[in-house]
Amino acid sequence: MRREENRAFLPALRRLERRLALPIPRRIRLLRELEWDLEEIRDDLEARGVAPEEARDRALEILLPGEASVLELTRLHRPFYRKVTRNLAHDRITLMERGALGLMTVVVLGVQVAALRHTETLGSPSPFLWVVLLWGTLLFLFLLAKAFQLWVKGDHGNPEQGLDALLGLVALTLTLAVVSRWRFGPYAFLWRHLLIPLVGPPGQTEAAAPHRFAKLIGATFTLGATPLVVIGGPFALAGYVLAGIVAVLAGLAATTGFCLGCRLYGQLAVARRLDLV
Amino acid sequence: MSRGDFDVQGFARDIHRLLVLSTLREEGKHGYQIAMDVEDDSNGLVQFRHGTLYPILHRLEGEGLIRGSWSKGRGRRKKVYSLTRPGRKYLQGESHRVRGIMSRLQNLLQMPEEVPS
Repeated sequence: MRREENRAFLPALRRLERRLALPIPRRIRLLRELEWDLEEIRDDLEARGVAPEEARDRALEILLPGEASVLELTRLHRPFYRKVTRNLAHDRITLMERGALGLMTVVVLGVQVAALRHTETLGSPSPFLWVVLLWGTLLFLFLLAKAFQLWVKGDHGNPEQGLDALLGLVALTLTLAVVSRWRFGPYAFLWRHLLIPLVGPPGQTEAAAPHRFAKLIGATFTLGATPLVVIGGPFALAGYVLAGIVAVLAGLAATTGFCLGCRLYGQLAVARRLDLV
Repeated sequence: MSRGDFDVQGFARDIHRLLVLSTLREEGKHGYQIAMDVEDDSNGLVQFRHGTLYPILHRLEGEGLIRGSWSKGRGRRKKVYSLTRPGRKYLQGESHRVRGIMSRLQNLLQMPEEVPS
């Protein structure tokens, strides 16, 4: 019962949440404090004989910060990063942040290539390893940038921005290879022109067909996930689930060598031989 | 207070701060309790509306005059504010200063006895 009553303040708190340009921990603390006070003041007013609807409206009128209070709170809790950069122009800050992210990407990818040169990554434990490492690095840097935006800067404007582009890029690289019937694919291109010259050819090769089948599944899932994430709202969750399945299976294949797509391909081949398919 | 350093807007803000501090004189309270107590104690003269209470509380907390601590109540976490030692000292000094200003304003506003025509 109490849980249902509490939901009465949720829409107002969500609206306020969007207006508070504060780092996530401070924002959560403020909203939590406010939620408790709103509930208590409503209960107190009801105990004094005020009708429930009126008690809720009066609680909101008393405690829910208006425009001036939101500005004052934002100023009071201004994050350290904002204080340090307050005298710099917005364009300059953006340029600085992008530069730092770009530099970090180059450094991390450089470290990764250096690591690849000293390990037998191409041969074992899985040919998926370098692909997963590459996307994992980009995803890690993306999440790092988002964490900085939300936790340090307190900038909550469209936090998912860019995730659809990253997912679209994964789908595009896989789909290009499928559509060109494996004649052109970014991974094959990188493999031949970057990785083999850098780390040398792998000691042993595997049949391409099962891996291609696994990539076909990956292309289908990511191609299905991208528009769902772009549409957003309730569809986004379905998109993230599809993308998550691909990420988990690719990670599993890269780290343990267990490739579900390849296994499925093998079973399909058995089914074909037995005339079941 | 020296001549000419009386700021009307600042005085209104100081009054709000003092009222909040004085409600915490006896015991720690949460935000809603403070808002209701200030309203009740002033017979409705001072009312916090549109969340104006929170910037005051958070500023006082930032200045170390009150301390906010989280505790559990009815299965939920609530923030309770209490007066710190510097806060108590500040309240004493400021109350004295405000009383002085009020008495001077009262003298200023005292109407001269009407002269019969």
